[in-house]
Order: sequence, then C-alpha cells, then structure tokens
Amino acid sequence: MQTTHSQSVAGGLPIRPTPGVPSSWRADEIAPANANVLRAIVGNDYVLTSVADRYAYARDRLPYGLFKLRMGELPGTLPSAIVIPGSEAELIAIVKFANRERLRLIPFGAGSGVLGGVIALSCEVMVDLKRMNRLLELNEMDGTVTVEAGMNGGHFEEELNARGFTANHLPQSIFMSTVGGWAACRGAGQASSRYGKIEDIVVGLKAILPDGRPLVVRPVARRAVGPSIKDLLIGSEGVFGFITELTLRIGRQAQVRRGITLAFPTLQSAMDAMRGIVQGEGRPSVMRLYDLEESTQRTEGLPTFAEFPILVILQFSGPALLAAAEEEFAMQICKLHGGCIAENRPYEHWEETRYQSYSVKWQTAGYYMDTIEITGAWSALPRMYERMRAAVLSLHPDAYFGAHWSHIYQEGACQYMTVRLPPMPEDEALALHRKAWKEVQEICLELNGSIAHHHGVGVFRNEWLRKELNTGMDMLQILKDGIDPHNLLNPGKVGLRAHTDAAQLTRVASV
Amino acid sequence: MNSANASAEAVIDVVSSLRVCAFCPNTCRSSYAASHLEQMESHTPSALSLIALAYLDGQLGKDSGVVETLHRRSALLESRGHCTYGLDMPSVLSAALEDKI
Repeated sequence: MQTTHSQSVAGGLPIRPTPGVPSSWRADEIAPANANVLRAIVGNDYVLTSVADRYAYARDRLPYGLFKLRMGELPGTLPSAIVIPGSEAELIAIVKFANRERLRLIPFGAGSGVLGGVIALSCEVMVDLKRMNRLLELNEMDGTVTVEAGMNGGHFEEELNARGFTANHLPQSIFMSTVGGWAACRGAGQASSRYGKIEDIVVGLKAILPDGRPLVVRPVARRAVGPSIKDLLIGSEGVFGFITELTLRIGRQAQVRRGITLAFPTLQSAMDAMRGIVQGEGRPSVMRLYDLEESTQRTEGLPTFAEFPILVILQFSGPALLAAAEEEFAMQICKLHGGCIAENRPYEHWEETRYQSYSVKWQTAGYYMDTIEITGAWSALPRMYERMRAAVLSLHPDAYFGAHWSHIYQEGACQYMTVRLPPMPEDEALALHRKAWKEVQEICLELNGSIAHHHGVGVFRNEWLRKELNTGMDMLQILKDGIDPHNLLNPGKVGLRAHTDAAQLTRVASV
Repeated sequence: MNSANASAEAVIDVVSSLRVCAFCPNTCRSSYAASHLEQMESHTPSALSLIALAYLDGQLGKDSGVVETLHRRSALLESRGHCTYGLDMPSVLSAALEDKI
C-alpha cells in the first residue's frame, strides 16, 4: 500500500509523526499522486485528505472505540483518505484503481455500527457511499422497492410512507444508518418478529466485487440455483464487495396499530407466553420482554407491577381484521401463562423513544457501557440468561447487567444485554470490558447459541468467529482469497485474515 | 454567583455539551439534507463536536486542517431544533470556538 509514510506500522514498531497529530496516532496519508487520480474520478470536492476530516472517519459507534476516543486515543488508525463516489461507474473506477495500486478500501455508510466494522486498521481509504442515495423504483405490482445503498434509512422509510408503503424494517438506528448498512451487517428491525430480519426482506441486490466486476442478484421471490449468492453479500460487512443497490419487499402501511402493556409474575412465565404466541403462529408486529432489572426501570410507580413485575410489550398492526384476531389470540396465550393487561405507559414511552439509542448519562460520564446481542434456543435461553448475568455481575461490585428479548422466533429469541462498568482506571476497565464480552460469547457457544443476532462481527467479535462457524470459517477465507487475493477490501474484519501491519484493536483481558 | 464562577460554569457547560454530541451516533442525521456534502461525516454535528474537542484539548493542531473543517457548518445549522437531547449545537460550537479558530 503506497502512502506518504509507508514505513509506519502498528504493533509497537515506530510510528512516524504527522504534523498536527499526537505522536501515538497512526495517520499515514494517501500518496498525493493517488489522491489526484481519485479526484479525477469523483471531483475535487469528494476526496478528503486533511487530518481533521480523516479523524471524523476514524470511528464507528463501537463502544470500545468511544472509550478510546474519550481518552484521546484512536480505536485503530486514521484512514489515509476519504473518497465519495456519486455513481456506480465512479465506484468501479475507484475499485479498479485501488487494485492496480494495492490501495485498501473500506465501504462506509453512516458509521452507526457497534462492532468496529468500518474502523481503519492500517490507514485504509474510506469509500463513503452516501452520495448514492436515490430511491430508484417502487413496484406496486410486485410489492418491491429498489434503492441505492447510501440512502439514509429514515429518509427511505419516510419516502415509502408518503406513497402509502413501508419496508417494515425499523431498526432503532433508522435515522442514523443507511439501507446498505442494514444489509451489510445483517441487521434487524423492531418488527422482526413479524417481518423478519433484513435478509428476509431483501429480495435482490447489486454489488461491486473487490476486483471491480459488477454482481447482480435479480430480485425474485425464491430461487433454486445453488447456494444463495445474495446471502454471501448480506452480512459480509464489505469484505466481499460494495453493496450498491438493494431491492426490498414492501407492504402497505398498517391500517391499524395498537400497543398493549402486559405484566407477568415471573420471567419464565413471560418467556413461555412469547414462545406460545409464535409457536401458535401468532405474529405480533412488536414483541418485547424485559428482565426484572429492565422491567423495574420502565414500570416505576405502576401498581400492577408490584405483584407482576415482569414487563411485556406487544403491538398488533396491519389490516384491522387481522390485527384484532392476532390480539385476541395473543391475549389468550398470555392469560394462560399468568399475564395481565397493565397500565399502557411503558408501551407509550417505548413508542415515543423507539429510535433513540444513546445513553447520555453513561456514555459521557466515564462509565463503560456496551450492548451484546446473541441468539439462543428456547431450551437454552433461561440458562444462558442466568449464567451470563452471573458472569458479568461477578466482574465488579458495581457492574450492571440488564436484558430484554425483542426479536422472537419459533425456535428461540435474541437476548439483548446491556453491560455497564463504573468509572475506573482505563487499563482495568478495558480488561474487564473485554472479559465481559469473553464470558458472554463463550457461554453462548457452550449452550449452542449464535454469538451475534444482528449487530454483526466487525472486528470486535473476530476472536469467536471460528468457534461459531467451525470449518465454515475456512470456506469464507478461501472465498475471500479467491475474489480478493490482495486482501484489499475491508481487511481483518468478519474473522478474516488481517494484514501483518494492522493495528491490534482489542486488548486481551488480564484479570 | 460571581462573574468568574459563572464564566467557568459556562465553559464547563459548553465542553459538556460538546462531549454529549461528540459521542452521540448522530440521532439528528435525517434532519440535514440528503445532498452529498452535508452527509459527509466530517460535516455532521457529532463529528464537528469530536474535532472541536480534540482541537481544544490540543490533540489536533491548526495544521491538521481543523480550522477549515470546523467552519463547514451547513449540516450543523440544519440540525438546529432536531437534537434528541435538546442541545443547540450551532450555539455551543460557536461559544466553544469563539476567538480560537
């Protein structure tokens, strides 16, 4: 990789200082000749090389990265430049040039990922896709919409709503993420229990492979032509190509939408009710079950919860007749398991704040807060919860652990955990934080769950991916080596081989 | 409260607001136009706050391009009134950088 400071490497070797930047930061800049070629492709305004611009692209929302930035350190390195193509043709030209010059590239959406999927590890060039942001076609007959990958998720959904439709993919991050980012990290929305995750909603896509060749997966309902190429891109986090265009299933906006708050006597009784609803073929549009810790925070002062402390939120939507039938069915199941209808304030509060994902108090006051989401089978979830909770709480007397289950399936559910450590010296905190991750991921694997439900792998989960995928990891590496032999596209992510000069993002726990 | 104390509190308040914004995932992002320039990361309120903090802390020097970056405020101005946490970031940034860039 040609840069103006090509001798700089990470891992304890000397870092050549860059003017205006702390000496500990690795900040190699793209060679001026290469920057000029990129400018010729996209125009002068769309190549950024200043340190300040590159600093803004040196992070996503990985909490570990936030901890480092709070301390004045980088999560990885600065990118060497940012290039912002406005079309597929410009992107192809960038990728082909990068191949010739061995420039490493990272596809960048809105940077809302929380696993470090777009963090530069060796001063890669960021390719910001947000200029490719048009809604291309809404096909009412087929019930699909085709959109460029860089479109803001909130803008996309609002445009669909204005025409009477919805994509039914409503992640908490909808206003701060791109449609392409949803697919790249294999994300989930809050209505996933009814409409599925993004891999269930995407029916076709276009991508640019690491050598610049275009790939088209034509949008059709189903196919039987070998393994799904679409699914090699969905969740690939940019290691197999740039997703440039997506065709998604859409539906009519709901005729009715009704939310209900329920209270249950125990966590197990509520879990049994959730399982009973989905295994009985009920499909509420929203299903959310909270553990005692998270229930208590949301139900303070509500009389029903004094006796029935576990909170469940359900939402029924769609055609009025269908929603009413779904509601009646679900209420029967809940009653069978000891649930009762409670004051609706928790549902209303959730509805009001459903797209807010930032905890000001904890993230800015020196706490170490993170979220970890896993998938477990119904038969394993109670043990997973108890063991993970105990493991995290044992790390520190003031550690916090809370969990909820909001993506519910016939076979199991996503367990979404919030872990928080109090302010303490940096080295101690980072070691404990990593240990919390290690405990949770290893218990998950031991109990046959999946280590990630919808946040993806990024770089922070690399350590556990081989255990998750076993020999499937070899298949992914062989594929990567075949289509990206110089390891130029988002190297070192999704458990794949990193370059020898890559920054080591995480520290191994020493406690 | 004397004027020196009031001034010190105002500085703390400004820095505290910058920190809230710097580590926020741009929950205001959809309030600024989808047009290309305003969606660049270094134009977003959160990035401007992060860069401003690094500049005020002395981590980013003037030769880092920080001055030019911190003057690009169209997305910041469009975000006014859309902060989830009620902050007026255009005013905060102006107060934080007054006479410093």
